[in-house]
Amino acid sequence: MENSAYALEIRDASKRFGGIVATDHVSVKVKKRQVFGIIGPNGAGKTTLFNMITGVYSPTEGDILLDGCSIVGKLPYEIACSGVARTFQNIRLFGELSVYENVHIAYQKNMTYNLLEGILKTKKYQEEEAECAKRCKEALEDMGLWEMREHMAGNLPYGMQRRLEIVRALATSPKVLLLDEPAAGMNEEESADLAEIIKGISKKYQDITILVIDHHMDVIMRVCDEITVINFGRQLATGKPWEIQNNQEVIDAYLGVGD
Amino acid sequence: MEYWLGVATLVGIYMIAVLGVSILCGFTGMFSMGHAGFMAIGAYTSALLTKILPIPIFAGVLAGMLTASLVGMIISYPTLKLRDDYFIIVTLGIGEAIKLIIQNATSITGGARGLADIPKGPNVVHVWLLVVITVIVLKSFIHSRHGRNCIAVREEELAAQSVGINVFRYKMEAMVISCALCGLSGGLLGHYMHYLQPNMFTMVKSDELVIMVILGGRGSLTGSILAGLLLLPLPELLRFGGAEEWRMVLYGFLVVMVILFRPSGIMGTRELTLQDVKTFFRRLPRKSGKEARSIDRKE
Repeated sequence: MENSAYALEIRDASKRFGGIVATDHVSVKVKKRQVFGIIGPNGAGKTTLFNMITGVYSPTEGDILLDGCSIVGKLPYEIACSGVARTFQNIRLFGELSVYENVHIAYQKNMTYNLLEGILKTKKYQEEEAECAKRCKEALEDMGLWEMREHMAGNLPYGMQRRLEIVRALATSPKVLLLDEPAAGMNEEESADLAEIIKGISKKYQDITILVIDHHMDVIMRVCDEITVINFGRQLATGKPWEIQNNQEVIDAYLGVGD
Repeated sequence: MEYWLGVATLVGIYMIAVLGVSILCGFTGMFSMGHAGFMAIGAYTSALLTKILPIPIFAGVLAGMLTASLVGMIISYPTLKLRDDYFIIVTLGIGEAIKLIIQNATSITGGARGLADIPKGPNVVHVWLLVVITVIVLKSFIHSRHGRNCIAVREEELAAQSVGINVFRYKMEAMVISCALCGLSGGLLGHYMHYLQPNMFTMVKSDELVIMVILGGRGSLTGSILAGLLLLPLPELLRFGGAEEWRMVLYGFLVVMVILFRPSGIMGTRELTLQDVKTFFRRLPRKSGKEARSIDRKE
């Protein structure tokens, strides 16, 4: 298949759990290298959308294309291997492992030595491990977590855990990065920092496409090139940040409609 | 003296099985209550092969290892996708089933009367050499991407998948390694004891293996070794006081103590290093309360 202009394309994807419709014919086209925002009130189906993209659920209807190829029906790890990385709304770090190990494990996706080579510690093993150690150090230094590398991930302060999740996702060298409420529970200052981090990532990694779910409008409006709004599983609007800000339907969904 | 060498040999043999279970339960986080069954497979395969065919004992033990891992692999396909607790129940069933099959295949295995005249082979040196090799191999395994992926699976399955780890495959890898080591342990046991009987591989044996891993600390090889060294000679030591039947009571008591006071086991997820031992002995004469803390890790 020829290379698509879109890094990620969701075509009419619906997900029903029994009688409940979590997402209803959602269509999204994310251009390469874009930062794309998904917003909507609680329970709107944003995380369900992410879970469909990462293969945790498969859509009841519709199709999801990564770089022009359908990824529906693939297992989560296969999708991760084809270049989708994510963070989780409720942090899921390897809690009892150190900060460094968390990143190290994620980076291992790029390693190829087999079981026997690992046990015999062949040259290939040594080279790949050395390269990995270098890259992990870089990644942790970038995000200011290098000093914390020996700490248990589960003991980190909340904001750092969020950042570590981003580092871990980036360590898999993804083409598409999904951030699920990265600013949840953060105060204004912290979420401003986060916005800078997201901008920094998109500047540093030239080929990366980022999808962000969040409630913090300031973060979303600051970092996103394009936004889609979801409410009760239905798509309300898609457009540039200023278009969304002035969209009457969106304002009604967020603030309620007066009588 | 000879008696104590015998105890040491048995401790070494069971140690290999404990190390195998440590990889599965400790590092990959899947509890099996049936690994004595895989010991039985290794034991009977090796014993029968060397009895019938003119092959050396080491070839028989190797065949036992391979058979145990093969059976483990076949059983893994339908069971590894089960949730933790269901996996425990299935392995419990498998362990018992293997024992019962051996018990009832009287014409081949001698049934409950046991299988005698097994070629005698390994001595204490062979066994402990194998223990050392096992430890070295497992240590490299844990420090390779394969071992680390297993640990990631234990920590957080969904996150492991999201960084591209094929959870099923690494569970399988851990299962096969643990079955192979249990097979090896069983094979050695048969050739050392000269005699096999299905009752040597009951659920109690499986439980003991798991208990030692838990006591030692899930995710610590040295922890498993320490717990093994502590608990494996126990049946022999208690034999003197005629208190053998109290062994399981003591095990139960130890487990309760560990759950209450040190939920992560003796070592937690840490490994004991030479440095730790040195610090331990340096601090020993000063204050008795502090040395525990030196091994301790923030929890």
